Amino acid sequence: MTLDASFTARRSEVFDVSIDIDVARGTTTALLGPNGSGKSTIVSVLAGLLAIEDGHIRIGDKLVDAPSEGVFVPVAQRHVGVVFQDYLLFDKMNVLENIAFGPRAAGRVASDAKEIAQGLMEQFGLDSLADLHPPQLSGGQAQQVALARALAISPSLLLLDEPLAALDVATRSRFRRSLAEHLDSFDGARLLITHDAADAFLLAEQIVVLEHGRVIQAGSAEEIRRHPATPYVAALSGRNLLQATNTGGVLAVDGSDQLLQTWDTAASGAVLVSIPPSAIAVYTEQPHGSPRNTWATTVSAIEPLGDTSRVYVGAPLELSADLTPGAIASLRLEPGSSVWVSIKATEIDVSQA
Amino acid sequence: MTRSTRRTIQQRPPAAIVVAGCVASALFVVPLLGLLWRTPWSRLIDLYTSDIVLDAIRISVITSIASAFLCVVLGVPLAWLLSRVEFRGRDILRALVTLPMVLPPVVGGAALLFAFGRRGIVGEPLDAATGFVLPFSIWAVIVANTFVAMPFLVVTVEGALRSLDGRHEAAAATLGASQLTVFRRIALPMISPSLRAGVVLAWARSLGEFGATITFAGSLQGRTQSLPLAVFVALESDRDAAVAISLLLVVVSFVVLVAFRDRWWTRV
Amino acid sequence: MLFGHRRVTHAKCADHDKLSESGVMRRLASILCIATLSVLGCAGNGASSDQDSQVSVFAASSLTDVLNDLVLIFEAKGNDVVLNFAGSSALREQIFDGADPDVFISANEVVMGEVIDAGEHFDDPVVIAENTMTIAVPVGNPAAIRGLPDFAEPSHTLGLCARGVPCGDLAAEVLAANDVVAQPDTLEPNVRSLLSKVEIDELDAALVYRTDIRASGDVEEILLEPGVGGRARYLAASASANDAASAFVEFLTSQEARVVLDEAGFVSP
Repeated sequence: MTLDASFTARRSEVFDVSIDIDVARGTTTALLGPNGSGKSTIVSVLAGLLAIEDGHIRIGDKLVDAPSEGVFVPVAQRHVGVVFQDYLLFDKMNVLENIAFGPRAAGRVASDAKEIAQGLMEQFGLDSLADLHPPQLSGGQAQQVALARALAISPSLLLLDEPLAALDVATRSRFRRSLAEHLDSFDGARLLITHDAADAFLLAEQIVVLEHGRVIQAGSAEEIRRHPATPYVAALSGRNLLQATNTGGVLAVDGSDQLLQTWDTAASGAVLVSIPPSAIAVYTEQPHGSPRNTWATTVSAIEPLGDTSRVYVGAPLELSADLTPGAIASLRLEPGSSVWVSIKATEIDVSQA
Repeated sequence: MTRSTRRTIQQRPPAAIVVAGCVASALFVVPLLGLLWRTPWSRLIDLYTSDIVLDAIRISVITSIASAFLCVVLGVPLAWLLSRVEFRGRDILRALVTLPMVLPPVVGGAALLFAFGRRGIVGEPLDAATGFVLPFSIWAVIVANTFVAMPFLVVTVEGALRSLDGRHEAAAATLGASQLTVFRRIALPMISPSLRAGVVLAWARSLGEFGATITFAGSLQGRTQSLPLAVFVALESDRDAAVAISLLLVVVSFVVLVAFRDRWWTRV
Repeated sequence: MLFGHRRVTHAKCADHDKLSESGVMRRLASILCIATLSVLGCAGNGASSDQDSQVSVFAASSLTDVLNDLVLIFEAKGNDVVLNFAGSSALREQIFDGADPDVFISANEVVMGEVIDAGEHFDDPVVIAENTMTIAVPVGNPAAIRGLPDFAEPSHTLGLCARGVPCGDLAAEVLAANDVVAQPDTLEPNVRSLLSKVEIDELDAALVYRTDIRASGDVEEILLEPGVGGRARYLAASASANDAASAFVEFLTSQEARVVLDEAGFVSP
């Protein structure tokens, strides 16, 4: 195990975090939770900015925090690469200096540090940005610089705190894909902290779902999708993910002859399609208007999820839609009902596969 | 494309506030007009090239720059300690540091004399050990200037450090940077507008320093007599000279404050 | 000090006011005006001229203690006196700037002459006291100062009043008359700051007025050698056609006042 953390930490009198996570070398684990679930506390703890109350944290074969043994390795000696939510690039330094900062701080001579930084910039395709300062960068470029800066210290653990949250929806898919590539090329343990289920399901092998400072479910993406432990997890994992081919805005979904229309033509060829369950409307009769993205199907199952119920529909496309129990009652839906589903083209998120 | 026109929607300000503001402004402007009115324009060149004024300018330039330098070298680390390290008596120390801002400078000068005078608690052993006596030397002027000016730098820089949210500093620490490196390469550049403002304030305060200097360093042309001291002495003997030197101080301070206004009031 | 009372404040007028509204206002006005006068030189003197029994006095600062004592005696006779102390030249500037005292007391004949010549309406000045130069040294005289020639010794730490200040002008006069090229370490803008540096033994010696030494208990006096000179004459002038003002000047030359002046170290004219 490259990260072995089992601890209790306290941010305030009323809020503590108690979790147990293991991340293997060369794998990515996503810590998925809503705001206030304790994600940022965990980032602080692992980075060494906050001491734990109880338990232990081991990174690689090095014990970095263990109150019972009186061990605490301070932040500057942890070698945990952190990509912060808003990147926290150093505005007074250019891109090259930002990336070279870690090696310089570690005592390397300027020329060595520069060489390391240049290698990373080449790898990230950032060569042309070397002399720019962070305020001149786009959000995506800033994210890449932040990642390169974190990797420049050859960390034994890479922490990514909401790395895509600062990007707008249009560029998020693109950078998610490039992030996936860069993560693959880093052979240490990767911990991705996110509130966005798409990030977790698309970037991580293992998912740990966090709520109120506690782990409520952990497992592979598939396990969590199949058996959501709580309505929150169900809501997170209910997002419909489909593999498809995009040809000029027409999506041919793999294993189905149903075509979907999208406005997003930026990603073409093999794409990943994501449709939130709330974006799917269910009717008992063929709806008027929008002829596209509308088809007839049957209800295969209905699962109550607290405030809403999840309605699963079958061929030609297996999808889940979230409806209120009132709507289900008035539509008289039950397994086997014949229905029409409709999806707004703008609600279909397409990213390069 | 049509050009967008910007409409200003500024309201007429309330009369009572305008009146009070005008009175307040007059309080600053009228004395300056008085000074200009009394300025002996025809003698100005002669006065500025007199030995007394040239000596005073030299002393003022040397001592104000030296004390601004000392303020930075000593004051910035103090500001960092006050803003970043929790220790017993920190609040008391902070109050002590700002005391010279509110104290009559003469009191500060007397205190300096009791500390660093040749019979002072530090001055006497220093005299015995090295034969160095601080009062009545240019060093005493620099010390007195620093004493009254450093609080302005410390308060400005400490305020700026405390208002940094610390996240950039934390980010630098995760990259392996020591506290000193974080301070030098991250925090200091981030607060540089405030640092600049603090230096200018401290320098301007030293330039205008009178009370602590006259008490601690005395006044001797060419050795300790800075411009404000020259003004005070000239008031007794040659009022034209006093007005001319005052005008010089006003113009220099004003130019510096205006030149730094943008970096200071808009960016800090 | 003669009566053993506390040092009195400058705004004497307030002590005798009933706590009426006008009294409070007048006290405020007096204090404000004195404060303003001493800093800026304020135009007009609002504290006095409207009332015959109140006398505004501008006096050389070397008279601070003795005049406060004298005013107490004078006020017992039913008059109010408002005192404003500063160096004689500074007072001259205030008068030229429009301040209008009832009595002007200068420590410098030249300054008095300038004020009279400028057409300010004062009666002819009278000499009320004389003062002499003397050497002030710290208690015990650690630098073993003996006389005026010591002021030419660079290894001593020496202080004088600045030129333009009466004690400075007189000191320069005395030194020059005796061919002593002084090596001062500081030329203080007033005698108090000079003496305080002697008191705490930061200066080995200073040339000051005898009266200044009388007022400061913490220094010793080395008398100047006989015949070296160094006498200052205090002149008082009252505003023309101002009975209360001339009464005050007359009082200053009275036997009653002389006793107080002698006690403070002044010499009878």
